[in-house]
Amino acid sequence: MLKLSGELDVASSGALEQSVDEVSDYDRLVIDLSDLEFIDSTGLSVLVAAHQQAVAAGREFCVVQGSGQVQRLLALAGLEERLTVADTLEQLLSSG
Amino acid sequence: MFNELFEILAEAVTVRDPSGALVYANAAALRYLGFDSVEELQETPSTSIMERYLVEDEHGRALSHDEVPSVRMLRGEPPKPLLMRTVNRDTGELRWTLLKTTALRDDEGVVLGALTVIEDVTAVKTAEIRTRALAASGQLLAMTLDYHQTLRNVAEVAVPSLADYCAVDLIDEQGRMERMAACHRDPAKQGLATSLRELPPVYLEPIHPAARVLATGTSELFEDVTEAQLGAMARDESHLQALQELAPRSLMIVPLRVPNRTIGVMTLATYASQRRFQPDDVELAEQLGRRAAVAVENAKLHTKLSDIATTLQGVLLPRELPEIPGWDLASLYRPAETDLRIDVGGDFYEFFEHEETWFGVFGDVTGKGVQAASLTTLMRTGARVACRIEPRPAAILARLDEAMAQESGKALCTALCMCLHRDHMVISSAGHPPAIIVSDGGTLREVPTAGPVLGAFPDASWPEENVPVTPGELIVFYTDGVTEMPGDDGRFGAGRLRQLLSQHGNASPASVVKRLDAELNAFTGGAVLTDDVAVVALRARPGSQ
Repeated sequence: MLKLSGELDVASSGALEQSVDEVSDYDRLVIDLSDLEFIDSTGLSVLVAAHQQAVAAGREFCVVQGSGQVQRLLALAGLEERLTVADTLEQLLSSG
Repeated sequence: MFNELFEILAEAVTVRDPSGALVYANAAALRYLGFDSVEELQETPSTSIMERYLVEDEHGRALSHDEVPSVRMLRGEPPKPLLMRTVNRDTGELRWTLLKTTALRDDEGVVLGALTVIEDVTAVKTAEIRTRALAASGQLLAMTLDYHQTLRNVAEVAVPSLADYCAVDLIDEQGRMERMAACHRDPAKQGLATSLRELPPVYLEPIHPAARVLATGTSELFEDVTEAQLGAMARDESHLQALQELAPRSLMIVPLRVPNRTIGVMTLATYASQRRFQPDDVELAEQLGRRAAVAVENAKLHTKLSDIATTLQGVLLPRELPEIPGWDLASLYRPAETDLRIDVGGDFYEFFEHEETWFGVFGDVTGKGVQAASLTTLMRTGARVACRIEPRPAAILARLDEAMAQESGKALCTALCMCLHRDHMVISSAGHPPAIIVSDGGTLREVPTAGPVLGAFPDASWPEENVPVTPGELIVFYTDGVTEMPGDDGRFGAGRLRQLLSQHGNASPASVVKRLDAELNAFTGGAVLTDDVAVVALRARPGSQ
């Protein structure tokens, strides 16, 4: 599980990319966006790429939903309906 | 007894009697002044000793015999220590000398003479000047990315601290030598130096010493310039006359070297009455040359990049919005600043006509700079091509999605694609912020509901909406660079954008865009843009067809 906080933008998305690579051995990847304050299109593209990789490798990919701007952008980009999005981490853990 | 003491002193000491005549000099002083004996010194008027030298203060102002401390003291003035720069007119040797004078008095306090200690401070002073020149060059070279200015700065650092004349030449692309800067210490000769600078570029004869410097990367030093050497440097008779008029005494040509080649030369000279260059002068000039060369290369690289950027920009953005009959349009495009200062970005828009109907595509490729910009060309031209195959916004987006998915890398693209009619707009969105339509009364509506971003999902499709638009309503497309622009007060936000459009949406598209630009500027406090910003505002003119 990767928990993000602060802002995921051009400046910080490289770090997430690296972290996603490091955890690529697990069957299930959860990215917790609940503490994320801001995401831009570059950040979004890292999430999409992580999703694509996971799908290609037959792994599960979930996100814990973020607040306000983060969730709006996920919805706008069409990610919300394609990703497994949980309201809280607890919900996700109890279901899986 | 005093005499004996003075004789063994390393310091040079002289004594003048109250009449001003030099009556005594110890061995060190005789050596320093170039006399074999005290008698010889006594027979020589001290004014004529001074005439053997070019004497200046440290600011380059000529000093007269009256200003020497011992002479001043005997005139009853306070004998302030004096720092002199002297150049021996015969040998061209440069020396820095510090003179300190004290009064010799008898028991009653009557002045018997003036005792002067002559201190040779050449080494200290030269080192100081060099350090200062190199430090100044560092500052001046970093000051500008205009290499013409850089080279003028170099010439100005060199004169007068290192030389009386400095010229800088670069080799142009044809291999010709072109003079970029010339600076002369003597204002009367600056005109001549400037006229030489303005000569056209020339292929160097192999006999020209600069040709050797360019070929070998090794400096050339002419301690005493001969007529023959001047001849080798002259292009023709009138050039030779000009060089003779500059009358260099000593001259050196040093390479402007970057790691793998020599890009030009720097010529430094002293004029007739002046000093001779020594090997350590060459060393300093070479250091200056190396710094200048690197600065020039950087500046040239920057110029080249800017040229590329301008060319790219021309390709990557429509120069201006087309004229759409019956519509008013305006746009705002501000690319994020990058290290390369290439003003292109991932935001794009393109409006084009297909079978008498106008289509538009407006969007944002993730990332910034040239890489993102290159994908915008794909989107813009792709939209035109896709429109010919199937002229429907959703179908165009589907083809752009395919094109995007085929691109390597994880770039995504958000876009709006629309077909403009006078009374309605067919619009489709791929994860892009909605268009805002402003009614006459200032109410806003946002369209359409977004489909997925381009390049992300293999099974995607895009809904299309048919949106009624009354002529006179303002339609605004924008990228998230507007709403997400950071300022001291958080992000600019959709709220501020909506408020501005609600209040000023009745104005012309051009003034709405201008106002938005001003508000964004005020919001960021003029800070560097971290994301691209694009806005297009358009309105069908009521009444016109």
